Amino acid sequence: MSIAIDVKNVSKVFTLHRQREMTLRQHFTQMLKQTFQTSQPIATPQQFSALQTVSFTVQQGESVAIIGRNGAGKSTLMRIISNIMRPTTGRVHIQGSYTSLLGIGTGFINNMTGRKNIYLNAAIFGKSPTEVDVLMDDIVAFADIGTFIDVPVKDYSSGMQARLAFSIIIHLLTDIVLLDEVLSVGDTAFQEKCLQRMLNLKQEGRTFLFVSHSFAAISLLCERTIWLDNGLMMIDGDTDAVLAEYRQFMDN
Amino acid sequence: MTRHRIRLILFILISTWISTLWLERSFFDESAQWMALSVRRVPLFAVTLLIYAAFINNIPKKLRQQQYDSRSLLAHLTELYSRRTLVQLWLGYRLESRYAQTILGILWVILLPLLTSLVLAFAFTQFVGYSGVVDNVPYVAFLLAGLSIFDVGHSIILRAQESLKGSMHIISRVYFPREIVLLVMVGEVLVDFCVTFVAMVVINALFFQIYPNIYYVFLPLIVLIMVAFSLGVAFIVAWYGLLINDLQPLLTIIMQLLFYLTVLFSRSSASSLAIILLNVNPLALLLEAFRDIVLFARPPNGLNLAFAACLAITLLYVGYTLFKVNENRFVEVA
Repeated sequence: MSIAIDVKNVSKVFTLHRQREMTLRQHFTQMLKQTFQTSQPIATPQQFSALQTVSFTVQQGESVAIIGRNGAGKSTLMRIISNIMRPTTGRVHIQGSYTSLLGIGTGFINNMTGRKNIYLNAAIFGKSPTEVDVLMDDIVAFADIGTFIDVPVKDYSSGMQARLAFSIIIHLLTDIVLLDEVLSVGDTAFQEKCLQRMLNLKQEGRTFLFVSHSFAAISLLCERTIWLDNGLMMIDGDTDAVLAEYRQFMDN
Repeated sequence: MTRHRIRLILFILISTWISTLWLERSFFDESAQWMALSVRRVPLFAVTLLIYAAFINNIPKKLRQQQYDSRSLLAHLTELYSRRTLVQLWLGYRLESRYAQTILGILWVILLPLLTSLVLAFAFTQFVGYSGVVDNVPYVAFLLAGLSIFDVGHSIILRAQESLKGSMHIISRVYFPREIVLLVMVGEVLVDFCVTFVAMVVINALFFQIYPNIYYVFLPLIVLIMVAFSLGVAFIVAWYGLLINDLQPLLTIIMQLLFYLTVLFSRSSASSLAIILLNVNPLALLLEAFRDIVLFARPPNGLNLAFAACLAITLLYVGYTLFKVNENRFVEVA
């Protein structure tokens, strides 16, 4: 089996500016200082280390869950893996095509209809419109938002947006699917449907990396779980064992 | 480190550009009969070329030192090419929805430059005392031609920041080559320009007896240089616009000044100082070439175009590199 996702010594340090956006004058003075005296930094802004040397690999066809408290670095890690952010040190390698759904509401363009957004989202993940035409009926049927599919996305409820977004991601049939807390919006019936669909995809040999707070979903879908806390990898192992540890930790 | 190098190189570029002002012949000799481009301009040309060569040589190495974004320029361009369907699709949808809630629709594209040039022509001929004819061409036609091509650069530069910030909700969720956002905007501007251009040709033929000519074959080149120049600036502006909030008002003022320096006057009526400003301003040179073709039916000055092209390519390269080096930081800083 080959490696689908390879995360090697990834660290992420955020610089916390008291006021992030500088005025033009401040920027120019800083620019001049930095240009002509590269040796010493002017100020030492407060730094926050979101991830500290996280390393793991995900094999092809494996489903891995990431758990942890709020602010543990889960979303940062997902963003780094999906190439939206650059790690401060370390590197990430992804083998194969991937789709990612990070957070609620994807990259929809609000004044375009749901159908057009499907084509656009698919194109972002590298699928041409002709490829999407084949999948279109499935996507629309799965999202199950009725006639709203031809209505601008801005008129959708947040549940509808989540449904459509998830439906697109799950039907593009890429090798790897990255999901970050996406099941929390839909109603229970839709969650069931999603999990069923994900299980089917898993059986087809697709790889999942899955951030969730739902123990039920994790133990159903993932055989392996990674527990992050304060940017550190606590345990990486069998789902049942990790979940038990995590539950004990959270109770204290 | 890389970013500081780029800043340093930008400083060098701008200072060289300004310092070569002194090489202008007419700066020393006011009475000199001004030619389109003096021989002394050649050093400026050479220096720009040298800097350009230095960029090509150095920046990819600096990029390779970076741990993460270690890909070459070619790799970035290949990736961009592989995503061309996204550009097409996005551009198509943007154009469709563009005039969805307007009454005049696409007419706006031509109405704006036409009204602007009418008002300006009225003001300058009635109040300032212009004769109403510039180089045997009506002043209105002169302004309209200038405005239509100037708007390409103007819109691209001014809309860069807005288009990047407006797409931030998509950028923070999925990865795609971020320059696509700007390219879609450029596509929109170009479509607008095509409409304006056709309307302008029709107006010129109907009212001013100025007809299309064989030199129109040079027009794509001029538009291309214009786009390269302003896209280069747009890349730089878009990135710094995320960091600095007061860049946009500053830029608006600069573009306003450039508008007065480039659109309103022709070389024949300009003073020697104004001619120097014309000669170092690639926008003005492009406008001049455009007017030469459209209004005066004569071939553009090759050396002028080459100078503008040289600067445009340099800026495009610097801008694109700066943009791509910082691409994965957009989400952090915005």
